[in-house]
Amino acid sequence: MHSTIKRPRHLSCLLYASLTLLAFFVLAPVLWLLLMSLSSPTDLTKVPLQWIPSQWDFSRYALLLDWQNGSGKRFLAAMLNSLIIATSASFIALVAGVLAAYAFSRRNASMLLMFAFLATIMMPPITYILPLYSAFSELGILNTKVSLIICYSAMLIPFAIWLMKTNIDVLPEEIEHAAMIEGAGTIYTLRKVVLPIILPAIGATAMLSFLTAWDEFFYALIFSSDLSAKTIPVAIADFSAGRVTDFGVIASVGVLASVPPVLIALFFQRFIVSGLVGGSVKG
Amino acid sequence: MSDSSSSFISNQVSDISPVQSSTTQSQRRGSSADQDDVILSIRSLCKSYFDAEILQDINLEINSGDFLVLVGPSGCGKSTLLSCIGGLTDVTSGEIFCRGKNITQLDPAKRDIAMVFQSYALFPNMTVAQNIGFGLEVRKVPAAERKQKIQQVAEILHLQPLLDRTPAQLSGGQRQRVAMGRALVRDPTLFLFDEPLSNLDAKLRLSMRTEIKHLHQRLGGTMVYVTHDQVEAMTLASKIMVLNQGRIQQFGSPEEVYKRPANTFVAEFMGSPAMNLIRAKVIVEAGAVKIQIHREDRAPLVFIEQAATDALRAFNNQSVIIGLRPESISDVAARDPQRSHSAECRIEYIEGIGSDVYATLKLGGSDVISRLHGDSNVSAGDRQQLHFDLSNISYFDPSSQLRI
Repeated sequence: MHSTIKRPRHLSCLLYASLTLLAFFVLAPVLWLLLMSLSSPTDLTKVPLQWIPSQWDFSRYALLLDWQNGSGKRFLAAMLNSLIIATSASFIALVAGVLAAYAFSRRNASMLLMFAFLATIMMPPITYILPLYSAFSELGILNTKVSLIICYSAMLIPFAIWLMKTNIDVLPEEIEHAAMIEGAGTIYTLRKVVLPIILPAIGATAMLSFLTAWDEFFYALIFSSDLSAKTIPVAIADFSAGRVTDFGVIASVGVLASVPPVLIALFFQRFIVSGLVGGSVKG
Repeated sequence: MSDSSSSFISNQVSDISPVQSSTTQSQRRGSSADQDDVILSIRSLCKSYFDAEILQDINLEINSGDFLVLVGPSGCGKSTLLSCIGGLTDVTSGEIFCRGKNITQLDPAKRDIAMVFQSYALFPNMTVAQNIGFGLEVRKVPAAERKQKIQQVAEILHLQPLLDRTPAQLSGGQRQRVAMGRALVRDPTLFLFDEPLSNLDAKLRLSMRTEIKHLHQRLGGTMVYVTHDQVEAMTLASKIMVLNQGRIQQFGSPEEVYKRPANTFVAEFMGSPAMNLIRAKVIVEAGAVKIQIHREDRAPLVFIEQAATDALRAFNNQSVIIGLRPESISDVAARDPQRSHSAECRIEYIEGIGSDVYATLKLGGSDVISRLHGDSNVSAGDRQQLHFDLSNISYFDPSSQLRI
């Protein structure tokens, strides 16, 4: 593990100082969030601020994770909604994205169509709100998970196609030719040869899609009105909307809401790294 | 000119075809069960991308057990032709027949053809055994039978210890063998090889070349092999097709292509060092055909062509290009003294390669390479008695570059 090039001492100091500063900037808000969620309300309203809580207060977590309780129900229902919606939208976007990307990359599907897809993400979301709202209202699916799944998959598909296409483009076409000559059809080739090779890219796309859908606020705010469809970002906003705002509760919701994305990021990160190293295609 | 050249070449091909079919028959006699069984036949195949004509009017026919090598410089269309046969590239016009069946529009999966790619194109996510068995799995061959066939092929190619490895864990030569195994296991009608040895180092290339030759002799498959290496072409082929700029330059046995090149392109492309092309003048005097080669320092070199054809006689008082292989100009006497001419020449410079010494002289205004015995004690500037073996001399028309 010894690096052969010795760095001058002052450069090393500078490097570590910069890294520490960067780490502080990135981690300080998260740390403060965690501390807030564990501080008592009196500590949080003290002037000057009590940075280190005088006593550790876990009551909010107990409150939020209790389905019987009002806040707990609001929070857990929103978590569940978010999980269902983000997972379904990511899954739809991945399936459609991989197939479309293969068509664009290998079957000479019109690039015009590709650019049309990409153009949809160039437009600000607010332009779609009104037509979507009236359409969902006509269909009677306002305030349902389905409407948000539709919205999010439409939002994620162009992005998934783009990511998957760049990954399929760089695969040596000869490998697919070999599969075809060996007698495999398109679906078989895709399933047995192409998909396993681009699995790391699929993992990355899945992760980014899930995170985008998990964090989405605007559509969710407009299209959902109660527990049946509300997602976690909207629920967090709701907690701060009351007359008396307990910052500690909001902080606890924030901590809990970031647990699934963090787990997913950790899981896929290992997977992506191992995939990139092991999938070497060079002949 | 282009029209006349293509018609000339097709004449040339039809002229030589009886000779060649008799030689290949005698080669194959007793080895293959179904003789004269036409496996692949291509009729007036053309391929163009927009305005660029990649292949023009390709016609060929090969029999069961033939080893056809497509050879030519980069960009001559040889790989495109192979890809058309495999069905990976669609043709602009013309037809391809495999065992008499028109496969021009057929899906590559249904052509019963196996292909070995230049980059091997192994499936990186599968083990060696899975790679070899892929085609069988697609065809839903039962697992037990599949395993047995994979074992057989692994034995032929010495791959048994590697069956559980993935391609990333193999060396270049091993990957090459896996790619061949994948082709062999299905026992297809036709094997296609796309420059399979070009990614290997020189030593391995040589041993794999021998191995492919052995495999062909042992298994007797019909093969089409693309290479830009003319040595590979000469050693492996039972038939060679030389391509340049999308046109067939010559189609024949390796011996024919080497000894009787159809035009100056083939003459220069095949053989290393290349055939010497020397400007000369034909003089018909009292029935005898004299060939006169200009020399700067001395009197012209003149020899009598005893086997002159009428076509050559027609070039009386005109210049021609003569083609002589380096080995036909030597310090060792020719085998047939009747068709040999000796003259003293000045050696301009020499290159020793151990087994031989290549000595360069000036004839007809160009550098001419002669191949001397490895022990010859010549040095640059020496005068040396050289024997010109005329038994395999070629004559070309300077305007059309075609064989006379």
